[in-house]
Amino acid sequence: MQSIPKRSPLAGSEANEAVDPPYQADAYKSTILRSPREPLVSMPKQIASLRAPVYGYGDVKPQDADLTRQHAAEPQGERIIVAGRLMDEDGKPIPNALIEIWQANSAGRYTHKGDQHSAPLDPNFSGNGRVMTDANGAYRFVTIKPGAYPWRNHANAWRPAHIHFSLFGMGYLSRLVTQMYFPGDPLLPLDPIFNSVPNERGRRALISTFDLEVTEPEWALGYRFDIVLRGDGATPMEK
Amino acid sequence: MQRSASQTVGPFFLEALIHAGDEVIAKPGTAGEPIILEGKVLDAEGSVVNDAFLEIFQADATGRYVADSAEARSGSRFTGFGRASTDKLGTFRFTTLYPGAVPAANGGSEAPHLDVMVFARGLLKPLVTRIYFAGDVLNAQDPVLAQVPPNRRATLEARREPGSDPAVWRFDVRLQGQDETVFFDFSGRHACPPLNPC
Ligand SMILES: [Fe+3]
Repeated sequence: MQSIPKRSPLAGSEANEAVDPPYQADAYKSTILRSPREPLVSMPKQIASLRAPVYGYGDVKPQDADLTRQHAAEPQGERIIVAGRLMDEDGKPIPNALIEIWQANSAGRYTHKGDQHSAPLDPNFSGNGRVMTDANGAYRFVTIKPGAYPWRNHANAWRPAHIHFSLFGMGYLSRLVTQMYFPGDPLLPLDPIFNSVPNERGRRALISTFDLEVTEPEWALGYRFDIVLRGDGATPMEK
Repeated sequence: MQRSASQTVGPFFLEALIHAGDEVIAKPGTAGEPIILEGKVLDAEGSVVNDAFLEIFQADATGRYVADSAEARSGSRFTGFGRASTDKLGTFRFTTLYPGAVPAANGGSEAPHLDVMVFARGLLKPLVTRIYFAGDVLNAQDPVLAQVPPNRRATLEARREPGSDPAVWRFDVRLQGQDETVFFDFSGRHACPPLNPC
């Protein structure tokens, strides 16, 4: 029999950092066999000082940022606009950066072959988008509001509605994959993934805010989601 | 400002993040020795992880990182960056080239290596590691390997499949347990520490 995995020796020091979740978060069961247990080696400056890779993304097209116009007709669901700014820890905008998103359709179903949820697929929705930030670090997607969906983490487990984000910043370690949530979602307090974020401020920052400025009259509600990435090696340390 | 927290990629990233050709880091005709990098991602029980992906970042054959340019952005030349997901058997595969030694600021150099981030369902933030090439004479003087406990260094070395041509280098990522891969601490601010400027 597999013995109970020992607690990562890093749990303490990671908790002090209080930004990212720990690797081992037992309430999210998939972490138990996939989290390292040996001590992490301090990040060498040779890695910390690397610039972000140049991704061959020259072919990002305007329609990649509009998930409602990738098929013959519009998808089912509530059309929304998601907009925000990408910046570093000093608040400096990050221009010309790649943002990739993916999400379930309005019924809570992904097009991915492995998604076994019985909710219907939508022939007019793939749920994948890409955009480059502009000179001010701003980005904007048009999509539909994703549905909640069940998963098998525990009895009657449901993921709150969310959009997955993947981002590159200026430095190699600016890399971020995260999830954007929606305000007022009753599933948030119950979700082990959302609640793996160790501090309240960090959790709040992953919840988009309804924004009338982003909202377009007679067309779509707007949500604001600003994202802060780790600075690169060129950024001076905090005073 | 507090940076945004990481969340898992979950199981459904495939169509959004992995496109045909993303695993080809060096296209045919790129100067250097072509190699295949192949391996598996394994969990604590040795079971294959079939919903992970790796990102690899590397220097070219002369040890230089590709500078940002319109040509590089268009993907029409070697960028030194690639992505590959694991398949049903937990296997990933990259087509690339044997990187050159990277010159270091102090006059020395880093042994040929690949910088790696691992993403998967069940990983709430990326795992950061490095792949070196077993048998490379420069490994003995590499400043990053020097920071790794000697008894764990072998977990960072890919091994060449005997007789393979082009060379196939094998590297398994062991997330936990026996021969657990060495991972570097991704937490913290990481802009170069004040006492140790980059
Ligand atoms: Fe999801």
